[in-house]
Amino acid sequence: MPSPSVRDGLSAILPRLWRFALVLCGDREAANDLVQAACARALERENQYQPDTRLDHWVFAILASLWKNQLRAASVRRGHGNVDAEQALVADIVETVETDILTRQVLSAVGRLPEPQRSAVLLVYVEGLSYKEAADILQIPVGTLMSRLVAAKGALRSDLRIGEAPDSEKGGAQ
Amino acid sequence: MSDSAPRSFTDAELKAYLAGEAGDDLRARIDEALETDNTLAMRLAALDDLAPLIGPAFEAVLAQAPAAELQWRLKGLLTRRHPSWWASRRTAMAAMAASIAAAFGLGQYTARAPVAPPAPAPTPPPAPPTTPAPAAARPAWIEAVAAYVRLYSAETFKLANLSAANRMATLSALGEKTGQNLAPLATLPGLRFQRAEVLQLRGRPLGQIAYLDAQDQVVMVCILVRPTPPEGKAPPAAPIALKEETIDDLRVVHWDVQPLGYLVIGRTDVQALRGYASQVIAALSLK
Repeated sequence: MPSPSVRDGLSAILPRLWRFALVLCGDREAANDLVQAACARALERENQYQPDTRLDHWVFAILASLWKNQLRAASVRRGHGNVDAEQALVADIVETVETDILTRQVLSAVGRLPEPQRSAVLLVYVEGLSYKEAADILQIPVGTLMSRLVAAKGALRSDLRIGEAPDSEKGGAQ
Repeated sequence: MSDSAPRSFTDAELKAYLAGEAGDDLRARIDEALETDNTLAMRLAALDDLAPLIGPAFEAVLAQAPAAELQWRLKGLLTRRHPSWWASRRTAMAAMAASIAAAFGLGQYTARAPVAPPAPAPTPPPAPPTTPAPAAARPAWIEAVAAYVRLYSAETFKLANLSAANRMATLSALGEKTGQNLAPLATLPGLRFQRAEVLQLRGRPLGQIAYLDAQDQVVMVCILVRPTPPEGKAPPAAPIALKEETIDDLRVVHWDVQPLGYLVIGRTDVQALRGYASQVIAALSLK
């Protein structure tokens, strides 16, 4: 008998699914479609869901798998998609949400990362998943996930100039 | 947790690992330990100082999720689940891929033609060549339109009993949204104009112009206003190509003249819809 918890639980996680999809595909409309496809697949396979496990993690994994399979099969990825993701993450936010400069800088910096790093960053630093949980969702070894995170951290630190002395201090001897 | 005693690592080693400064041997040993050692993972996470910076920024992204749109789509999935529908899920998945392909710039754009003065055609002009479109290429907005169009009947408009002035005023308001003079669409041959409505889909204007045909069947012309492609990114103009869809008992003929998407939908036969589409194209001087 299919568990009713899948259909009951999907509604509450839609915004987070959409955010994950947006980080993956870098396009807001495509994110809508990706979420819809993931929900359809989850409902199709609801008898495979184990009620004592996290539904959000299960559907995240479905969504990541769909993205990986559909796009790679169709060979529609254009370069790294970095510019798209950066634009998508920052788009509209400036107009509709009171955000500080740092928020926009962070979103832009994450958006400029390659997609494998973006997804790792989202799952671990935003969703708060453990390294193992994130690696399972992305279907990669933990070591690969950590390599992506380390690379992402390096790029973000450089991009956001974390750990650097403020400009005012750099010229302090003058 | 591993049954074997976890290999202990110093904070300095873990910090070096997180900074990408660990040697190959140390990195491999930590990678291996992380597969099973939750305590080690927690120690690493505690040393990882980027989460407090990145997490809050993404709350702003969460706030931008199109909640109503997503809920509507989910509701559609939940209410349309039956065996024949599942049988079409494969093509729906392909549609998703096609949508994403388009999102990544692989779709076709045509330049929008300037709006010419209205010129209702006394007889339907020949229809542009029609391409039967596979379900895989069906735009999502057409699914959205079909979902509510099937709720309308001739009685809907008869009960509303809108005045001609009211109908024309709404049609004019809709034209302001699409940037066109839509008045010619009030007098399409073979169709009786019933109502114009300004709707919204994903924050974008969606115009709906409802008609009844000679058999009192509902026919609708819908216009979706898409974002204008960035300067220099609009591909060159291409001839209008009509595409056909069948969604349950509804037939659809649709086409694009960027940034606008058009469709004609109804339960009538597709040949008639193609004729109406040609009338719309002629009435609006679309090219």
